[in-house]
Amino acid sequence: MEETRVIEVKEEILAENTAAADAFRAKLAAEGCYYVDIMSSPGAGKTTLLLALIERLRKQGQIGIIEADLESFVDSKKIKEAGIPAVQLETNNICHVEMGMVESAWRAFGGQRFDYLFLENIGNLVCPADFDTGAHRRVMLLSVPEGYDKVYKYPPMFAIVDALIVTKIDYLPLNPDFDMAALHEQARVLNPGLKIFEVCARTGEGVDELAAWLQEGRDQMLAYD
Amino acid sequence: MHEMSIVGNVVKAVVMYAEEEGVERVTGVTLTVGALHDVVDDLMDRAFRFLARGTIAEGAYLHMNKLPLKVRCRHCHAAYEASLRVRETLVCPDCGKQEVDVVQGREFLIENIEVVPAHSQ
Repeated sequence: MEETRVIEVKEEILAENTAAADAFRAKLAAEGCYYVDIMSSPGAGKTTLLLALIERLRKQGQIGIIEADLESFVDSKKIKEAGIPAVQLETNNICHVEMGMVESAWRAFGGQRFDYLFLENIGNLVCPADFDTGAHRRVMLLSVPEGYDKVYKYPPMFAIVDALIVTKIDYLPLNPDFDMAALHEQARVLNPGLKIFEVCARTGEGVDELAAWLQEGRDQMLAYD
Repeated sequence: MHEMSIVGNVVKAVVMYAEEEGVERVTGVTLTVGALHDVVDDLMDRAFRFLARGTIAEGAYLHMNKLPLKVRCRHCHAAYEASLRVRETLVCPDCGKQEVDVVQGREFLIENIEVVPAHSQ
């Protein structure tokens, strides 16, 4: 039997990604670019919500979008049609976004300056939760057709986000089992400071409030810098 | 399937540590994983065996020290263990309220490595 010894390491598993994320966050803040990571399951309405936000925020400043969704190039095409610079991130069927991908997407913009940068993360409520993407705010979408009882299915995601955006609220009359009050209560157990928005990107309901929160977030970042 | 990526980071760091220490090989790796990280044990294990091949850590065991969620009640400050997926367990046993701060569960560490020192036979 070989003699072995134990070496204490005590190092964060994702230390490298976290360090890169912190540096990226600081760099964008210094440039005045407010960067938001948008996560959800597939089909919760990330792209449609982004298009609605673009309409409201484009008057305030330049917007850029990093598209990480796996569904080919459909989403980045929609964004480009709205006249917004978008970079499609090649994740090669991976289930989450890491800093290396964010940095290469950022380089692909070729030095363009933005006031707002959005990352449309991959449609997945599990894997992205562990990986810091360098964003100033991380938000998640939950659509009414998915059902309200998701907090105990994806607890890490609900615990780490700054805001929960309940989308497709125009479906509420069709889904009477959707218990909005219970969702609010459950989501805040592990995340008491969680902001919750209820929106319908198609009718525009609630989108102004969300856009105002983003503007406020950017203003605070600029004031702090 | 983010396990592959997580384990990729583990292997990279372990190899770096082992080379710095000048060990002969790595025989085991212990991680500390809090309940707020969703990883599948079997996938972690298989990813480790796959990614460690051809490195100084080939054939090493991967042990995960899983830490349960522990929370502190925001109202009465009682601390208790809870399950993330069972609502009732999050209710404070002392005051019945349900607003908490996480005190344990976010850990995600390479705790230690077990090695065969360079000169040993």
